[in-house]
Amino acid sequence: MGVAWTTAPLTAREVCDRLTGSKERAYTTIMTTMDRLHRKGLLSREKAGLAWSYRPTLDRVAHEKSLADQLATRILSSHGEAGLVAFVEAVTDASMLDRLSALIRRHRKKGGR
Amino acid sequence: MAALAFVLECAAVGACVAVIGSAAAFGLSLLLRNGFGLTPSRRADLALVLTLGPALATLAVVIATALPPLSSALGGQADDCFSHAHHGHLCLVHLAAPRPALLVLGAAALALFAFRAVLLAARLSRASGSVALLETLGKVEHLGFPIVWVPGAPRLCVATGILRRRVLVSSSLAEALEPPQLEAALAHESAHLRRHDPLVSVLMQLGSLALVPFVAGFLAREHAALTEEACDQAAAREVGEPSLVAEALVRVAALASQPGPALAFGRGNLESRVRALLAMSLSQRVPLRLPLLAAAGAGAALTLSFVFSQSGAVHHAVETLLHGLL
Repeated sequence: MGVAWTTAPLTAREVCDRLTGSKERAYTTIMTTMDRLHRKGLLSREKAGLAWSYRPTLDRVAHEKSLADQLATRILSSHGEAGLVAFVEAVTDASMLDRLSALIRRHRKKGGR
Repeated sequence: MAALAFVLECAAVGACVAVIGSAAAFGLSLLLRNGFGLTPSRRADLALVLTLGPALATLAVVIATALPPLSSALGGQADDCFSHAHHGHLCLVHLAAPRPALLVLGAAALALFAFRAVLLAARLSRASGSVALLETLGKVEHLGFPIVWVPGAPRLCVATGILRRRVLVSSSLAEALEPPQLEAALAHESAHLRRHDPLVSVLMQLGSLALVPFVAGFLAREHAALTEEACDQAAAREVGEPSLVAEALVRVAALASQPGPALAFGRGNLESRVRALLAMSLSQRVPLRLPLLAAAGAGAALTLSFVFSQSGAVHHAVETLLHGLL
């Protein structure tokens, strides 16, 4: 994804040529990975001769934001069951929230801390 | 075949002890609801003890029951196999007239235990994976404990980490709160970390495996509610103003409802937490946790060592009881 964000559109061969050193991978591995990313909706593709030319569907910032939203939602729905302790649960009853806010205001008016 | 029957019979013994332990823990936790003038922190610790107690008891009885036949099998000599004419015989070597009811109960208990254990492992692994990935997108700041400011629209404020304790806070939440409210929220999460609540939460989950699911759920809810109350009070002492923590709670609950994640503790919990905060006295003494936890640990160690030292008697007693019951 990092290569695709800096240089798009590009083919699996071009990604393979750009990954050097410890990041170097076999051409078939890159091809399979890019195909999977396409199927997950992270890369779009169109035919360029015999090969597929890929480009990211979202830029890096938008992708990270979308990923963070998914992860945060997953964490919120699993906390309390999995070693996570949240500050407070969501409350959808607006009248209760209003009542509690009023209670706090009254408490302060009476000089409570 | 004898080994399989032995494993299923031991599982059945574990199930029986777990049911008795669950009933005792449920009764005691109902008593605990009266409060007895104890602080929420102390009552949360007692709820932890009530969850872990039956688990330890089950483990101890199963091991003590299995120990004599196991050691006999390893030594090549079956344990008093020929003096069991008057009742059933739990043996690894001999298949001594296995009772179908016991085998069915053991198989069901083993299957349920394995299912719950796999589910728990999957939940823990999924949650820790999500946290680790989200952390890579965030920025760390050290304010006592590490605070990781993470991106994302859902308003997140959670304490996590068994060894590497830290707080994850959404930048969107930090922007939506007034600075004193944010300070109160962070003080609350820091209190969770000082109490090692993420670790305790995992221990509760492990202990729950040896409890009847209904009792496990009840104790988990009680423990979670009491822990939240204890951390509210700790945060109130830290910021010096309980109503500020109450205000932060209401504000975060309102904000968190916007993307619509699931409720876990429900409305009653928020209301009782706010009321408890407004009624609290800052001068109330905070009891030390160490004496209670040390006493519980010492009690458990003594009981376990007694049960293991008397494993022959425990084994025989279990055989006699099973013969009478099934």
